[in-house]
Amino acid sequence: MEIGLKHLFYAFAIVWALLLGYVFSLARRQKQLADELENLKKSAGRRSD
Amino acid sequence: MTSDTGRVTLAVFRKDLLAERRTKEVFTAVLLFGFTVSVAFTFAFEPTSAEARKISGGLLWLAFLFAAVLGLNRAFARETSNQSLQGLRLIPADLGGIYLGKLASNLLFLLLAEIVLLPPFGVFFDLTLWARPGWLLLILLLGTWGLAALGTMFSAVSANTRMQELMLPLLLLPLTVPVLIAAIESTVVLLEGRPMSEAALWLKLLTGFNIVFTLLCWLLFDYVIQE
Amino acid sequence: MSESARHRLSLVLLVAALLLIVSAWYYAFQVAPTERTMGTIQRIFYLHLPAAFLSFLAFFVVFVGSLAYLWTRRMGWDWAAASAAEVGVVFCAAVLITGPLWAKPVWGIWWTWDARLTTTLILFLIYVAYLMLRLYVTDAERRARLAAVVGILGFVDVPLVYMANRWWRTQHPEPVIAGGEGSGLDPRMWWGVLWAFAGLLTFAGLLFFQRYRMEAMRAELTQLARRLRR
Repeated sequence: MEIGLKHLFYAFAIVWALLLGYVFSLARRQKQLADELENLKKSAGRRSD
Repeated sequence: MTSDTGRVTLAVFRKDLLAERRTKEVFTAVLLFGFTVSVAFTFAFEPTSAEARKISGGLLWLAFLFAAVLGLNRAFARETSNQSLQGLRLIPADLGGIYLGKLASNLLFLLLAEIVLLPPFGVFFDLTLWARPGWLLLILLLGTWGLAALGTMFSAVSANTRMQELMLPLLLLPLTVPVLIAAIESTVVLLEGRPMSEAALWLKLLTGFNIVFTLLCWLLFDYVIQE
Repeated sequence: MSESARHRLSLVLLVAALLLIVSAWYYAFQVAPTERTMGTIQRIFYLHLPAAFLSFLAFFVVFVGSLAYLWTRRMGWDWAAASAAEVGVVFCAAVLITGPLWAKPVWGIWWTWDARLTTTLILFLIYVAYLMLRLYVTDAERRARLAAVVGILGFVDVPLVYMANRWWRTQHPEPVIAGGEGSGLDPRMWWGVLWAFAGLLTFAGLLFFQRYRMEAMRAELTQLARRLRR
């Protein structure tokens, strides 16, 4: 029986898009934080000069 | 410890009562908004007799819910606006008593507004509400208690956030789903003239919910109020 | 944990997750037998059920983290709760998406108000509200405190939501049999579910770990910024 083959495909596709989307969101947010941290550390270094 | 709590509860309750008697803001807000929502419902739903009985139970509690959100926001706004929270925090006693006191006053104001709201609602949807007044009042009490228990807690939580007015309904609506279902089902049983034994399960669920969450909120309230 | 050790752990988790997931998929599509009544669409089960378990596990972690934070006042518990909540919401969304996609071809309607799916929907709303609360409180200590309270109340609510929905369902039965999910499963199907769960769990663990690191970084950032302002 081949009912819902299209739905099955969409289900897996959407869920994986969701999961990968979350991974990218995490990566982006982490990078933002890491950059901010870098900047702060640099200005802290300059301050102590 | 419990007599201390009792004294704080009573003091807060009386303070809220006095403040409300002067301004009547919570009662009026709940009543007017509930009334407006009920009218809006009559446009959305054809209030012909047979169907009306089935959905009016649901509509009634939706009206109560929306109105309660408004009222609860107002009730706590009064605390933050006149800085009375700071004063309350200084009480060297159980802060949980503040929660119980506010719960009691909120429950009272909401109940009064709901009772006044019933006759016009009954008129709009052509319902016989007063056939079994004792049961009706019991359902109102249990349902409103559930809404007020979590509502009082969440209004305190929301007051600490940047989007006060949004946080309260956002938190309250999903968590009070059991209360809504139980209250609506019980009301439908009542309105359809069926024996109240059919609603026994729902009333028990409501009672259980109320006891669990009142206790839990009482225990956790300190964490919300402290600085 | 040192920076390089953390990177290595992430990599190991990622590889493990991908291996498990790919092999689970192979199993789900090639090895597991086709279900008798529903056919191929039933294979959605290998996503739907593990995702549901995972989101519930995640929300349990939020509960434990909330309790532990209020008890110990250690920020690590708050970070764990926040991370678990986000990961849980993502998997909860997966459940809510695969549910209708399964229901439509099998039962002809997109949504069945059966107790489990409805509870999942309410669960989703509760934890989205939790995440929004976290978003709208700026002070870290206050955020942790308030979120912990909501985390506890939310989780205690879940069995009550489920009960209310179950009883409501028995009062208003759908003209459709909502059984089907676990009734009479071939043992090979259970292996498929277990394997898929293992894969998704590893993946979720990785996501949790990364999110936790983010919270730690944010705390470091705030601390540094505060020190610099003096």
